[in-house]
Amino acid sequence: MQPLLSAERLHKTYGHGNIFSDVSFTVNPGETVGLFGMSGSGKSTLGRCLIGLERLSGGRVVFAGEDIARLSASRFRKLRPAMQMIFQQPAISMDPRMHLFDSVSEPLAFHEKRGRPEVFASLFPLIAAVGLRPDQFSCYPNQLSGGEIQRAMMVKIYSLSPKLIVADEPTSMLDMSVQAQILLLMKELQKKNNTACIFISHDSQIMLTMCDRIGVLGDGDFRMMELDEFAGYTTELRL
Amino acid sequence: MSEAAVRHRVRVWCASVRGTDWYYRLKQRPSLQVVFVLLAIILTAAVFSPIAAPQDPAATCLYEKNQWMSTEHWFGTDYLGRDLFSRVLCGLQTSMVVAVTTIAITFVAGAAVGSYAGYNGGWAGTCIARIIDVFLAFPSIILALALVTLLGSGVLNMILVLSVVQWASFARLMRGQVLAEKNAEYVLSAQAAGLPNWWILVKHLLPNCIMPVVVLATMDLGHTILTISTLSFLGLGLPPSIPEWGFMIHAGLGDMRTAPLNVIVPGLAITFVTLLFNLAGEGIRDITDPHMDVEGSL
Repeated sequence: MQPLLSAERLHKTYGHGNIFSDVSFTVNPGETVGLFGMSGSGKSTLGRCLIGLERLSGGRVVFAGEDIARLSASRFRKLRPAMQMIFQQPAISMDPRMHLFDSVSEPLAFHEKRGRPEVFASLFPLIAAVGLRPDQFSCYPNQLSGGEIQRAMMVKIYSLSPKLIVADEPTSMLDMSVQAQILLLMKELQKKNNTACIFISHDSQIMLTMCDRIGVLGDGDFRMMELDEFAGYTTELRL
Repeated sequence: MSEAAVRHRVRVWCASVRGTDWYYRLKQRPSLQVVFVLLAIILTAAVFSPIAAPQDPAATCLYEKNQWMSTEHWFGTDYLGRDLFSRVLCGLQTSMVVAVTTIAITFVAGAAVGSYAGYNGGWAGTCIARIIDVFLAFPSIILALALVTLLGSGVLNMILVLSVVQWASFARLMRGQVLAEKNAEYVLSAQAAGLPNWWILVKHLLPNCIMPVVVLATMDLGHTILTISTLSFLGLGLPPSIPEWGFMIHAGLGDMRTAPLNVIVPGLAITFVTLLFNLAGEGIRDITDPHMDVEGSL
C-alpha cells in the first residue's frame, strides 16, 4: 500500500538553532500517528510544516504522491483541502468577526462556487453528527464554549472531506469530560471517513488510546515507536 | 419538508442573522444614535451652507465690526464686520471638503499599503516599511510647507499635500495590526483550507485589523483641520477669500481681548466637529465588534 504521507529527513532550524532534524516517517490512509514530546520540542512546528503552513529548512513532504514544496502555488491550493489542521486554542481558531455559519461554510462555498447558505444547509447532517444544533451557528465564536467551537471546527474541516488531519493538541484547552467527548467524536468521524490523522499531544494517556503508532521528539532527534514500546518509554520517563 | 424548502429557509435565516446584527447594537446605544443624527445634520449643513447662510459671508461692514451676539448677527461679527455665523457655516464646507477627502485618501492608501506590507513581508514589504519610516521621520509641517510652495495654494493642492504628509501614519498602524494578526489560528486555518491570499487579506485580516485605523481616522480629522490653519497662518494655506476655520482663528487673534467671539466661535466649531467624529468613530468600532454584545459593557 502506498503511504498517504511520507516525511523524508525533515529538518527545521530557526536563526538560533535546530528545532528538529532527520525526522522521517510515513502515514497510511486511515491510520493515526502520534507526535509526542515535551513542550518546546517542536511538535507543533513539525505539524505545521507537514501541511505546508511553515517552510522546512530541509527534507521533503510527499502527500498523495506529490512533493508539496515543489507544487506551484495554485496547484498546492487545490490540494490543500485534503490536508487539514485542528488547532490548540479554540478561542481564536475561528474568525472573531464572522458568524459561525459563515466561517464553517466559507471554504467549501469558495471551492465549489456556491452560496454560503446553500453550503450550510448541506452541512446539517455533519452538524448533527458532532452534536450541535444549526441555530447555534448564528453566534460569534466568543459566544460559545471551547468545546462547542472545537466541534464547529470539526464541521468546517470534515466539510472539505480531508484525507489527513493534523490535530495539534485539540483538547489541551478543554476540561476533562469535554476532552473525552471530543476525542471520541474525532475517532468516530475518522473511522467513518477513513481519514488519516497526525495527533500531536504531550499527554501520554491520550496518545495510547488514540494512536496506532507514536513518534517521539526529544532533544532534536526522532524515534517512531509501537504502542508497547511507547508505554515502556513513558513509564521510564515517570521514574 | 422538501430539500428546496429547507434550503430556502436556511437562506432566509442566514440573511436575517447577518442583517440584524449592527442594527441591534445600534439600538442598544441611544447616545450613539444622537451622535449619528448630529453628524447627519452637520454633513447636510456642509453641503447646503452657501444657500443656507443667512448673510453673505464675504460682505464687510466696518461700522458693525467686532459686535457681540444679536438677533441680526447670531454669533456676532468679526474684525471686518462680517457675519460670524454665516462664515462658520461656509467654513464648515471648506473644512469638511478638505479634511474628509484627505482622510478618505490617506485611509484607503494607508490601509492598502500597510496591509500589503504586513501580510507579504519579504523584500517588498521591508522596502515599504522603510519608506513609511522615512515619511514618519520627516517633520510633517516642513514637508507640507515644501510641497505647498512647490504646488501653490488652493483646495485641491491642500488635499494632495495633506494626504502625502499623513498616509504614512495610517500605513504604519495598519501594518502593525496585520503583523500581529496574520499568525492567528483563524488565518492559518483559512490558508490551510486553500483560500487564496487576497481573499484572506480582504475577508479575514481587513475586518479584524481596520478598527484602530478607523478610530485614528476620526481623530486625525480634527488634526487635519488644525494643520490647514497652521499652513494658513504661515500664509501658505487656502486663499483668504475662502472662509476657513483655522484661518478665522488666526485672523481673529489680534482682536481676541476686545472681541473674543472672533476666536471662540470657529474654535468651538472645530472642537464640536472633531468631538462628533471621534464619538462616531468609536461608535462604529463598537457596533461592528461582536465582543461588544455583552449587555454590561454599554
